[in-house]
Amino acid sequence: MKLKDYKNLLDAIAAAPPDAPFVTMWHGDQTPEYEVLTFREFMHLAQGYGSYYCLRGIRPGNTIVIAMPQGIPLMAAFVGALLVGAVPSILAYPTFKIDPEKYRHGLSGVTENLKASLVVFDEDFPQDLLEYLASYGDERLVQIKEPGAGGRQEEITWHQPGPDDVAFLQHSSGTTGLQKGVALTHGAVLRQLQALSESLHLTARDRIVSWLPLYHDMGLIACFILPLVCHLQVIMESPTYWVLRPGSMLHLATKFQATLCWLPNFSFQFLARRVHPEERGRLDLSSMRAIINCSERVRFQSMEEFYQAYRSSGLSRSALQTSYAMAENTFAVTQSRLDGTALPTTIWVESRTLKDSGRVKLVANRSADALPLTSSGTCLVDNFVKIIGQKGEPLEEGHLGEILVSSNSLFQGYYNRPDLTRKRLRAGWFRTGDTGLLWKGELYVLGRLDDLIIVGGKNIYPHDIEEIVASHPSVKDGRTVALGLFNPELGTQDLVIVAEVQNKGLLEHRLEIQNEIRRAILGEIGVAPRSVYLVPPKWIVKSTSGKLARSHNLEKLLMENPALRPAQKESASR
Amino acid sequence: MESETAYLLDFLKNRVVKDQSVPLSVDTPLVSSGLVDSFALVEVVLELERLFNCRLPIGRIGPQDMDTVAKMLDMVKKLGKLLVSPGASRLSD
Repeated sequence: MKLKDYKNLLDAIAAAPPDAPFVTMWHGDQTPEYEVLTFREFMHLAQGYGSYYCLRGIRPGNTIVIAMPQGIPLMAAFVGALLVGAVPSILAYPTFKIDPEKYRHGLSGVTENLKASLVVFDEDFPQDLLEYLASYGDERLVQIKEPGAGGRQEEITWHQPGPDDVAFLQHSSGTTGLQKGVALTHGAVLRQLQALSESLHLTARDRIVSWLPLYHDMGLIACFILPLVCHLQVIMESPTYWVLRPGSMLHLATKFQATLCWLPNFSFQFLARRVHPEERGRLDLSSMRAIINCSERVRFQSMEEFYQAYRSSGLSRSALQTSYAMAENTFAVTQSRLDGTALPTTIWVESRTLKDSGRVKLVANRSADALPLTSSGTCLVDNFVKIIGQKGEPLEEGHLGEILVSSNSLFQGYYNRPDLTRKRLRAGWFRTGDTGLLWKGELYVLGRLDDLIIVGGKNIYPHDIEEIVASHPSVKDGRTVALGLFNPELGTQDLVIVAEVQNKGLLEHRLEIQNEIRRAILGEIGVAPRSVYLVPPKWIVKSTSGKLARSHNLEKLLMENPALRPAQKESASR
Repeated sequence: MESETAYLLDFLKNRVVKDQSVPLSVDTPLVSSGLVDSFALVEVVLELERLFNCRLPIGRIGPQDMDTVAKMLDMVKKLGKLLVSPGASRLSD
């Protein structure tokens, strides 16, 4: 039976071989090191959560926000919600860096937007933070210690959703309180997985390895829902372990002979540079048939560096692949060809022509002004892409413009936000805000229409950051710019802040103010700015359009700080 | 331990924070202040392991254990697993 013919995700999951392994969770240097659950065991745990929700009076259609760390309980709490017809949504787990007041504020923003009936925390949720949250008298907050305790599962009739019922919400970017919930139906998710599994040539022998957070579409869809619905094994670790020991993912791939994984661009460089060469000798990556670069702009150099670092570990060059994906389309729109021989196409174009006239002029790859563009592949079945110009006119192949997407797995709209939905979704086409071009039927993604900053795969709107900085008493209102500077060392953007102080005298307290601004940004969005530049009044270049002002201020910053410029070289073409 | 502490402060200043004007002491919050971001922590872990010739148990330590130099040294003492080779004696200093 084809995936898209199932009535809902639950029917597809129920068809899994019960005793086959579903999820293997690596717990780092803890005991036990691994936790392995079969499909039967996993669904039993999910039913425990489902029965808990039933006892709490949760009805089909109610939304449940889940704030739990990466792990099997989080996954089971999510599927438990599907079982009772509730609509789950995963929220990033607070780190020790989080400011409790900011967290409370963000959480109440999200629960309000989503009209959440329940907010679920895990057993280990920081007690002081929980008490702080509870002190606001929100009865919807629950800490689940023993799912299923007291509930008699045999008496529960699980929900039978239809294909057009909303299955779950994915979060799109924005600070926590401003996140947009992307509503996806059972049918849309099944159609996406059908198209994706065809593009990936999935077989029962495939195994996925992942460190990706489950609140992000790549982690949620590709590394959790895909293996669950397509009955594959996934080997998972926590992003917090991965960041401290990046090679762990490759050791897991070696041990479990994984075949597939998805990574944002920066991870390719991170893995190439931050794993000791000695450690590489113990790896065998020959089982990997696709390591898919997704969610940041694909950079040829990052993938090349990764290949050179791991070719001696058995990595096949044809395993390096690409995809273009977004939460609003459930996940993937395009995928490079996975036939075991081909590499994603890379074309070399003249940088100046692309920058000045927005079109492709092919050049030899050794010429001085040549810029490599790596393709994100061709459209999945039933997915369509078109490129439009500034006035909305359709553009021909080879011309740079905004990417529009249409498919049968597109979202219904931003949850409870018809205003936002109207702006981005018109006549079945989603305006992505990404810029790119089509060339010989393949999509090349280049940048953003707005000044969206992408740090390590995480989308950050400069406006959100500027608001946080502006709330500092020493900073002049409306005189702040947040910028993204490409960092070739990391293969991703750095967040850089320029802020005008109220008066010159305040510059004497530079260090103190910089620290407070850094702390405020980190506390709210969880990303540390690389640099905070405090400048005297009237430094910032003003213009009627915020977008123009950002690029002018970036130029000015680079003029005054030439040391920043080499890092900017590659992104200048965006 | 004194020479290791000075070495670590120097390493953090020059290789991680990369800003000479920021004053660092053993109690300066690094991660929670945003001075050190999570992508840079792997370098700190590797440096600690090299310096003390030990292996740090990932999963039992987290970014919160690396927020200050004092916390790092404490964590290494408590959780670092000595590797068998000369130089290992530093842990018990």
